[in-house]
Amino acid sequence: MFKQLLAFEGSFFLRRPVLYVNLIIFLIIGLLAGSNSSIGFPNINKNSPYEITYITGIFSLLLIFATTLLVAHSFQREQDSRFAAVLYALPLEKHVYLLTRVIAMVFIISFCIAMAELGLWVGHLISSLPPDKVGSYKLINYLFPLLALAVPNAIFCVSLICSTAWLTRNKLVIYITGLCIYIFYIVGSIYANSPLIAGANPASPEQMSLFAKLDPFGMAAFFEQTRYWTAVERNEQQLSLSGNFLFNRVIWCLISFLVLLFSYKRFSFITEPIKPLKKSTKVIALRPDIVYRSAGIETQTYRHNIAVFISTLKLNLRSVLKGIPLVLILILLTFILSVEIANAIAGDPRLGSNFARTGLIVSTIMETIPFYCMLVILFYSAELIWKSRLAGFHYIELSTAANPGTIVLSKLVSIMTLPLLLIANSIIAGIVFQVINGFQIIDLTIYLSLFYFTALPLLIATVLITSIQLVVNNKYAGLAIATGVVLLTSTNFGLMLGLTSPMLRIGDPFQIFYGDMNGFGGYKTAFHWKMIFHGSLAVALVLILPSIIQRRFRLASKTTKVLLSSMILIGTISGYYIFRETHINSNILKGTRLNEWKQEYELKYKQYKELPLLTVTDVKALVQLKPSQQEYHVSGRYHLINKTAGNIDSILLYMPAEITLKSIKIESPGLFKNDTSFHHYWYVLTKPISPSDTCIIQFSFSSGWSTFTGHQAFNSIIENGTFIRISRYFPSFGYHEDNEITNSIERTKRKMAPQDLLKLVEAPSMPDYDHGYINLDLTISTLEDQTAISTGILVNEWKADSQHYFRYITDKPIPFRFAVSSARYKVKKAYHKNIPIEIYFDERHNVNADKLIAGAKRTLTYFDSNFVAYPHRIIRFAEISAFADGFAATAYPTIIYMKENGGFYNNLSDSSEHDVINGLAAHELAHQWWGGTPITPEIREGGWLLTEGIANYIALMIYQQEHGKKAALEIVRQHLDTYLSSRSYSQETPIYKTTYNTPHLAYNKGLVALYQLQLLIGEKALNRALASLLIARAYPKVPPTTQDFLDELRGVTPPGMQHKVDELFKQIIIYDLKLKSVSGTKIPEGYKVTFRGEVLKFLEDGKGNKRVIAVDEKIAVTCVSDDGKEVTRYFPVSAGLINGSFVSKEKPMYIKMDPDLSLIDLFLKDNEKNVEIN
Amino acid sequence: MNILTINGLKKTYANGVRAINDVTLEIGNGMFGLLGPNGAGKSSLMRTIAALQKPDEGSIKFNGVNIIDDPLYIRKNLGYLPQEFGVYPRISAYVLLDHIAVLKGVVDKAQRKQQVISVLEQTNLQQHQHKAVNTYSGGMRQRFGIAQALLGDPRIIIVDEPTAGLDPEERYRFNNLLSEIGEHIIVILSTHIVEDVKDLCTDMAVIADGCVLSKGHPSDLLQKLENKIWLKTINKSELARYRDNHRVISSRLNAGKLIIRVLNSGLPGEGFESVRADLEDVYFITLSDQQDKTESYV
Repeated sequence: MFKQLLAFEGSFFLRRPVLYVNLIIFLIIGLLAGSNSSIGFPNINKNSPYEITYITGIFSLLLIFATTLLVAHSFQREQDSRFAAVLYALPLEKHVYLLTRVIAMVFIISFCIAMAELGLWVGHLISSLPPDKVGSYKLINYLFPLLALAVPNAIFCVSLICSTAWLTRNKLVIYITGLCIYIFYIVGSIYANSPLIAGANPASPEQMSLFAKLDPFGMAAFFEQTRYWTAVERNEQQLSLSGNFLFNRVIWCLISFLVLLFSYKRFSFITEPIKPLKKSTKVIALRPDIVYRSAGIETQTYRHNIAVFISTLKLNLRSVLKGIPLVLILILLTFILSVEIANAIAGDPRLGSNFARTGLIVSTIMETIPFYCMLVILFYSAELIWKSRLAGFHYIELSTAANPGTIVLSKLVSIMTLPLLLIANSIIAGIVFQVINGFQIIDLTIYLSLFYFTALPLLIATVLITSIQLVVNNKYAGLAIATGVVLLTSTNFGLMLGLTSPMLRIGDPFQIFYGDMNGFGGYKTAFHWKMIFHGSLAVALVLILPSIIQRRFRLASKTTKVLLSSMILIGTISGYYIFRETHINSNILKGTRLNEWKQEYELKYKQYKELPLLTVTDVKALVQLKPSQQEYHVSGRYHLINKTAGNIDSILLYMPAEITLKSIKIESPGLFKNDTSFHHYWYVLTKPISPSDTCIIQFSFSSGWSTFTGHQAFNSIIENGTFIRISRYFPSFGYHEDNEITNSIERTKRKMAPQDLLKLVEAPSMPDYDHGYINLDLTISTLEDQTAISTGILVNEWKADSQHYFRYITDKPIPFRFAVSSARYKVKKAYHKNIPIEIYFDERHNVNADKLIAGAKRTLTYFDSNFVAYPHRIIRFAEISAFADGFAATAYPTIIYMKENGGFYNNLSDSSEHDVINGLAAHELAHQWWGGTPITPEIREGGWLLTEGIANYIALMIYQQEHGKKAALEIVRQHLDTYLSSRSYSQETPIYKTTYNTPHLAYNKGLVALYQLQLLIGEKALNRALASLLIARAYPKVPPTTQDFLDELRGVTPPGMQHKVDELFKQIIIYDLKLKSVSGTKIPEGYKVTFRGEVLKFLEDGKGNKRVIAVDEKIAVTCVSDDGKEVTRYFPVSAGLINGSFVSKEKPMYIKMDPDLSLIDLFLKDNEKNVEIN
Repeated sequence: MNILTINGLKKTYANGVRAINDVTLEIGNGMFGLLGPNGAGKSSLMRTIAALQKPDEGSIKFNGVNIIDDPLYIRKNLGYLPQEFGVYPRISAYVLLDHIAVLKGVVDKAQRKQQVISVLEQTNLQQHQHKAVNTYSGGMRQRFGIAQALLGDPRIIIVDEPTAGLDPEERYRFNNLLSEIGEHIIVILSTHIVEDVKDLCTDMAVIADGCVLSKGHPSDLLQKLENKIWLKTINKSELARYRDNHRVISSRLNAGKLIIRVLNSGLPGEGFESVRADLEDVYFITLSDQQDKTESYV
């Protein structure tokens, strides 16, 4: 019996196209993941156990959808075919019947993922991967993740979804369960800080261990086990089936089994339970005594059509609104939104929480609900279009004189009400959140705009989805095709396949972050155009819907014909306009074409890398900002000098792609030779410029952005809150290395030699080093009610021609780096000694201005007393719009720009430990020295440590001063974790040689190393070294290298610790500390605690190889007693072990090794143990 | 007076089943019975008349209007009760009837309300009018079906196997209601129960394999069999023998013995007694004639 049923089950699926579709999809996904070189991790082989396990884990999340579809398709088949009553009446044994289903399903689902694995393997083989990305092929690398990770996940998915199917027997509930699992998983991952989610924060070891146990898909356990693996380990080592990973696999298989058991017990062979009506006492079936009277009718008149439309709409809405699925959908939506909104308000923990601004909540809604709504529309369109047919009502419906077109239209409208209902629900949830968070300003107009920005694309998609259903004329085929179309036109999937044209993005939701300063900005215009285009086509589609359902083209009336042709006309015109603006008028290169361009550029211009160049000494420019037109014009003048020893006979100018050059004039006779496709302009001088001779160049250009192609984060000229790193768009000289292809795989594919190495730290510093510092004289005009902020002293401010003018002149030469911001600013001023501190901010965002001033003063004071005084005559902070991106705050001489959503306008009232303003102010202010006018290191190895590492360290010291050691220690721990978990993805260099590709070395390990040195030699001594470097090497002297920095550090380090400087900065040293045992006994004096610990010290080569070296330092061990008293003593290490004891009067609570994080320890969790008193 | 004229109607489904094979009928006011076994093509014919599907050949005219070209014309005049029908879940009978009345064109609100209430009373559902139709028992659901067919201003009512699932009492009353309505309009009733036709119909046709085998007034059809039907009680084991020698129309068990009816122009043999022909005999004879014909083709 069992065997036959299993065979029957199998043959059922073998005859279903849906199975083959699934298998093919998984195979393709595997192929894509295997052959795509951009998926995966740097420094890790494509076919390494780590990457295969990781990708298999991601694949297994997709099993949720496959299982949902297959279960919904198969478990309901008896119900759908009304065969259930017969089947359930058969002498089947329940366990046989259910068991065959589950086993068949698990087998099929596992087969799906096996197909993906096969695709992955074939993908690895067929793609021409560079040899340094491929290890040896081992079958076990593919099999192990399949069996250990994917199959148990398949069992989990099947058990949960099958149980739902048995318990509810409702298709929509099955779909919703699938969705639930997925959403709960993603939400859980966000909360668990899973590395699956981009931008996750480092979690504590305790958290990680907990989530490793809880994650039903085992990914957290995988991440926990491999977190600190080196590249070599990731390439060669198989995940071990032990610890939390083993625990996780076993416990979730067990839970899956229990869930099945439970639902199995509850399942019974009974068809739909229908409560019988109470029998009326006497059945008189019919009453022939009542005379039948017919009623007057009028058919297919205007009045009848309206009545049919309304009645059908009411009926459909009634059946939808009364249904349980809708309640579940709304609950689920509210849940997801609550999580997302709470998350958005909580913000990045490193930046502090956000205010419950309407804009933030609306942006969150816009980001969260469209895809969800789309799924709801997909399901309900299939349900409502086919409802009367599935219910068996359609013959009655069709036999009436009602216009079928009207009925379809009415169904369409009833489907359309669903996204509107979901949006209304979201708005209410959002407002409730604002009220709960006590945020006063509830901006209803922004909320209501959701009914346009989010709803309209969804409504247009509804028309498309419904039309597909009607054309295909089969529920499941229609659903499958509609889902495919939605995936292609409104999700990232389509974008990945290259369907990027806005004209094809039919249901594409509007997802622009709403910042207070600029709202949705200029993006609205492109959206309006897109809506005109898609809207007119949707209306046209609606007009021909009646023809579609009647399968013959016949337009009802003249009005319809006129309407249809005008819609097609509007569609054509708007479509052409969008096409022109996106494709013809845009010169933005993408993908392969961009790489081709880059390759050609390098080929043609790399030879000029060492071309002698003139140096700009003075820049004078007029910058005319046109915020309302989203463009600006610059006309300027360079004063240049030949600082080289030889004659310069030609000038190679470079004008970036983002600008349009209007005019250029070099005031020395010569001839232009343009190469505009590479943005270069050769100027061959008639008479060469001899050493120390000068030259003047006048130029004008304009720049801006099209609403269709989008703005660039660093060039955001916008209505309010403009921020432009404008010096990047000024004319520059010589070869532009930025235009090179950086991806090494791409270079290998194109048979290009590797990029030039960064200038070595050991390379000698030239005594005639050209700083390239300039005097800047910038006049900026902006809208009358805005203030423009830039570098330098404001020497004049006036209004003319309804423009507001500002003239800034630098008080001393600065590096060639300047930016411009403009907004409707309020200003707050204060003084540190005689230096004005000015804060420019949006009037709604005033809460943190005082805090910022206090933080700035604190930093300036710290510099006064530890280093040298502030190098300029004024310091400004200016808030800028969220349209700028890629940073929270950025420093230029005399000015620090802070983003409205990056710390400036955060809710700091409840989080003293996340004092973002203090941290940002200190870090960015530190850049006024380190990375600013006094010291801007040369672009070479280690340069980044001198700016970011030092700025981070100084910010930490100021933070510690303000918030204490414990809070500072937590920051150090976070940085340590970021360093340790990022390092395996690239070759590690000692930090004194760090490059610009490894921020975790410059920022994070830089902070940790400086902090640990500070523990050894003291804050004072370390600061003395920094101060000395500042004094000795400030502009105009040759900027220091990290070697100079290390020399200074050695100067303040006692003789016995000199090697420590090398260990921290010139080597890669990792420790592994572990407390093996702790025991306490009661003695007359109190308590005695003895402990045993293990200490390993490794020297690594940066490629993942390591060797054990002798531990030459004593290890700090702290005993904490129950009155909170801490006693720290230092113990020597012999043969990798330490043994020691404490005597304490109070009851000891726990023992902790290296409590101050003075060593880089791989795994912190095992450094602490509670004391058990025997 | 309404007239439905069907001429040379043919319909073959995509799977090769020939559902309607050259049907020609003329139907006027009154009850018209369409008698035939399951799968005879009754429902196909009715769906075609209701303009729910198009025939391959032939014409259907209602009151002179070709409804294949103008399906709207029949729909305006139609009350249709399909053999099987379902309803929207969780929707009450009243709401659903009101909706169907709208679809049928009863646009006037007051009039619609009045008619809905009236058909609810007529089918004795007013007590349950606010309950969801999907919770109704089989009989109630069938009553709901007839109620919806009565809505509007039908001049032709097509009911496909309406009495299936009704108890005898209900069936009787149901038929009464139909026959009363049928005084002024056409009512086409399909059934495989001979009695339904016998009691009610003024006109009838026997249909099998898509063909009309015989048609006419029931009494005319009976007339032809006058004095030709013989009855005898036999042992079960004797049946085969009788079948070989006589034209056995039907056999029925009675107290362990078999009662057979035989068609013969004179006394077929010993022990037979003459009985009055009934419609069932007409039906079975027609069907077996058809079968012989089909077999002879093989």
